[in-house]
Parts: sequence; C-alpha cells; structure tokens
Amino acid sequence: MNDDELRRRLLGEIPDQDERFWLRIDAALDGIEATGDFAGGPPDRRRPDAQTSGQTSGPAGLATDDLDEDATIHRIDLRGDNQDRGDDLDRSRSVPFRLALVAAVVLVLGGGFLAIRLTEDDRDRIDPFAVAAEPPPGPDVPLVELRGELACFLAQAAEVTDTVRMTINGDGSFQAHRRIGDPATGVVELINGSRRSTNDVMAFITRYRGPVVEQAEARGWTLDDDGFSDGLSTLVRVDCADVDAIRDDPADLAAIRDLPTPRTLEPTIEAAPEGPRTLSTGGIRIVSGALVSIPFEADGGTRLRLDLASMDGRTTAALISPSDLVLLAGVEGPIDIVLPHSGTYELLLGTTGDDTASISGRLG
Amino acid sequence: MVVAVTSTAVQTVQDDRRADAVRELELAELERRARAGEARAFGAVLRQHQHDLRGLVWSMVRDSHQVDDIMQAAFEKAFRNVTRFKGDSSMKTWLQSICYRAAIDHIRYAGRRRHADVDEFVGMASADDVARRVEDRDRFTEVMTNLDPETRALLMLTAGLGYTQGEAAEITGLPIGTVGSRLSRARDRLRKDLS
Repeated sequence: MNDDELRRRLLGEIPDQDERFWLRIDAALDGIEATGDFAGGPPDRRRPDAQTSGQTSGPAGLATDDLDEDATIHRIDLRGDNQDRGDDLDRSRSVPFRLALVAAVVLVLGGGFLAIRLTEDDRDRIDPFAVAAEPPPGPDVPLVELRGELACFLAQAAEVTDTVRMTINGDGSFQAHRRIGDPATGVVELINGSRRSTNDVMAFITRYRGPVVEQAEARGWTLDDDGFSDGLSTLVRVDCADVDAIRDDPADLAAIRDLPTPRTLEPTIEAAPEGPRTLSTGGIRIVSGALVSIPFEADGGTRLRLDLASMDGRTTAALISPSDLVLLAGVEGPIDIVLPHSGTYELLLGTTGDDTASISGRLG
Repeated sequence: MVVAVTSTAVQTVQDDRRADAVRELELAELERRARAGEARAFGAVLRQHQHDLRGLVWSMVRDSHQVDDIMQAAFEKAFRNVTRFKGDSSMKTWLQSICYRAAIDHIRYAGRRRHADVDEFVGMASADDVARRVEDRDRFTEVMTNLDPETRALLMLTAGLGYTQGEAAEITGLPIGTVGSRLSRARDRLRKDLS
C-alpha cells in the first residue's frame, strides 16, 4: 500500500459530521460562556447577579465528589454506590443557596415523568431541593408539557442526572443542560448522559419544535432569542407515559396532561430487636406509563440501603423526602444514602415497558 | 493567446492566494475572539478544524457515537481553558492535543474498543462494488483495529492528515523518536497484513 492509498483509506474511514452534533456543541459552549465557567470567563451576561465562584452546594443525589474539573469526561453516579452521598446531602443543605437559576426536577425514568422547574424569583427563600408537584398558577409561570417520544428520549438522556436545566429558544428548539457542578456557579453541560439518546434527542427537538412554539404562544408567553422567556420562571414537564399514542399523533406531542397517579404499595418492614429494620416488597408488576409509590417511615440520619431488582432492567426508582425533595432519581441499582429528615419517604418506581421489580433493603 | 492564458492562470493563482489570505485572516480573528472567551467564535474555530479533529479521534475509538461524546467533552474542556491558551503552538495543534488526550482518557476509562458499523462505510455504488469495498474495508478495518490506538492516531495524523512527525509528537506528547519507530513498525505491519 503506497502513501496515497493509505491516505485515501484513512481519510475514507472518517464518518461525516452530523450537523446535530454542532447543535450540541453550540449549546454546550453557550452554556459555559453564559455561566462564566472558564478561566477568566466573563460574568453571566444573562444573569448579572450570578455568582461565579466561592460557593459550594449540591442538590440531593448529586455527589459532588464525583465531579472532577480536570477529568475529560464528567460522570455523575446516581446508582447509590457512593458512600459519601448522604454526607453531601447534609453539607449541601447547610450552604446558603444563591442561584440566579434554580432548577429542580422530579425524574422517574421510563414510564414516569420528568418535571423541571426553573425559577429565578425569591431565590433566597427557595429551598434548593424543593420540587413543585404542580406549577404555581399565573401567567408569569409559563408551562410547557411534553410527552411521548421526545419526553422519553429526554428522560433517557437525563438518566445520570437529577437536575436538568432546559432552555427554550425563540425558535422552539430546546437546549437541555445537565448540571455537573456547583449550582451557585451554574456549571452546566449539554445533556449527554446517555450516548444512545443524545442524537435522538436533538433530532426530536428539531422535529417537534413547531408544536412547542405553539404551546408556548397559546399560553401567552414570548420566547426571546437567548432562550429565556419573558417570564422569570419556566417549568417544563416531560411526560412519557403514552408513547404509543403520541407516536400515532405527533401533533399532540405538547398536549397538557396530568401526571400519572402512582399506585401505592405498602412495603413489608420488619424491625429486629436490635439492628437494622428490613424493608422489602414482593415482585411488583409495573406497566409502562404507571408509577408505583412505596412509602416508608424513617428517622433523620438513618442510613438507607436498598436494592432495586428489575426483571429486565427497565425499571428505575426515585427517592422522595418527607418534604417532597428529590433525593435520588433514575436509580437503577443499589441505593445507599443517609436520610436527612424524619418522616415518610417515598420510593417511586417507573418503567420504560412492562416490568417486574422488587425492592429490598435495610434501614439503619 | 498564450499570453492571455498565462495571464488568466496567474490571475487565478493570485485570486486563490488572496482567498487563502482572507481565510487565514478570518481564522486569526476568530481565534482571537475565541481566546477572549467568545463561544460562537470558538465554535467557528472548531468547525474550521473539525475534519482533522474528528479524524484523529475517529482513528482512535472508531465508533461515531463515542467520537461525538469525546469531541464534546474535549471541546468543552478546551473552551474552559481557552483563555489560558498561550499560543505556543497553533490553536489547531492545541485542540488536537486536547482531543487526543480526551480519546486516550476515554479508551482507558471505557476499556473497550469497537469496530465501526460497516454501514458507515458503504456509499452509493453497485452491489458488486459495495461488496468488494466492504470486503476491502473490513480487511483494512481489521488491520487498523489490531493496532493500538496511539499508533492509529500517529498514522492518521501523519499519513492521513499530513502532519509532520514533529507535529504528531507535539500533539501526542510522545518523543519524536518514538513516533518515528512506531510509524515505521505500523507501516511494516500494514504492508504485511494487507499484502
């Protein structure tokens, strides 16, 4: 093989660059620029009061120890095998919260829902971990709800995160950001947790931006070019309960619908005279689009160790605190966490398809 | 007539050079703005160099989805550090070195290498042509895959993208002697395995 042939072979192998890739890159770079998250970077042009350094905080479930700015690829492990996660929770709660953009999310993957609350108002009063089950009323709180394929892809793409910032652009396109760092600095990363879904997300965003704009306009809010609505708050709820129905009728993609009501299942909790309590459920049949709620009582400071066993790996869990805080989301495997408060916790299970799962674990 | 043709040819060359000069000036301006932390300018610089950057990463991981992820991580890391870029090398070389390290990190982290899908190689051609090309490419792919990622990167940089061995050494951080010996061995192996 001569040099020309080798060169031709080598260059001929390189696959073409997909334009969707550049959508990802542009959004990611914009996010970094907007947050000033680079050496000597400018202050946030959208949020002049945003802090760029000096504060540390992290939402429940986000193990900040996992974040390594020097690492090439950032990974956030939500599977519960980080022993320090509970400590992170406690530390994060003690830090004054000052975000120009507060993002909170309830995420139950698969047949569940993804709700994202973005708000700038009253940020000093807002519990950083608070999640609104329903949006506050009023025209200043724009609401977009998505469901169907796009919702599922977004949920899949967000599977390694518990907090998502979504920016809705004036043309209806979305930029979904996964926060990988300190919320005070607003470090964000373009949603990229799931390799298999990233391109699909971008494709669907492109495909369905029209209905999103219609939805926004129908609600009387204006999208401006830098991706923020005129209102200070944006709530995007993504519901992927009815994939099949939506697939048949894409125009209905952005229809408003209620979140599914979880089916409540009481776990069996056995308390030994000494030692940890055991918590278990039998096999739980979960169908696509349904949620299963498993409430249980626990004292603050209790270490919770749970195992989620899924028959075919489709079921994931979210752990909700007594004050409706999302402690973990998208959990596929073991959970090991120190529970911050006393009260009734809730495990939510959702599935991307019909599945049978079970929960077993220890409290204490 | 000869004079006219020659004059036209000279004019064409001059136009080409002028266009090249304009492109270089535009790129220099984009790089200046990128170094000031301007995201759009940085993105434009990336687009200017995308073929070479992608080619390098592709040569190492050989999976288009992984290439996208690695390049995104590398680009974000580069942008976070662009204001620290001192200009000791060209920005393209600097970006290549970041992409190279990102790919190495990824390979070490993932611990896996995969063959690219044959579909990605098949263009429009007759069925026989496609079959022959797939067969050839499969053989070439197999031989390439049997090389280690660093060596594939060196081959792509030098034999594919036209970098000098010195530039390849700068990008990969390998001693230039190592670059030379690895390339020599790789070429011997390609010659032997593809003969």
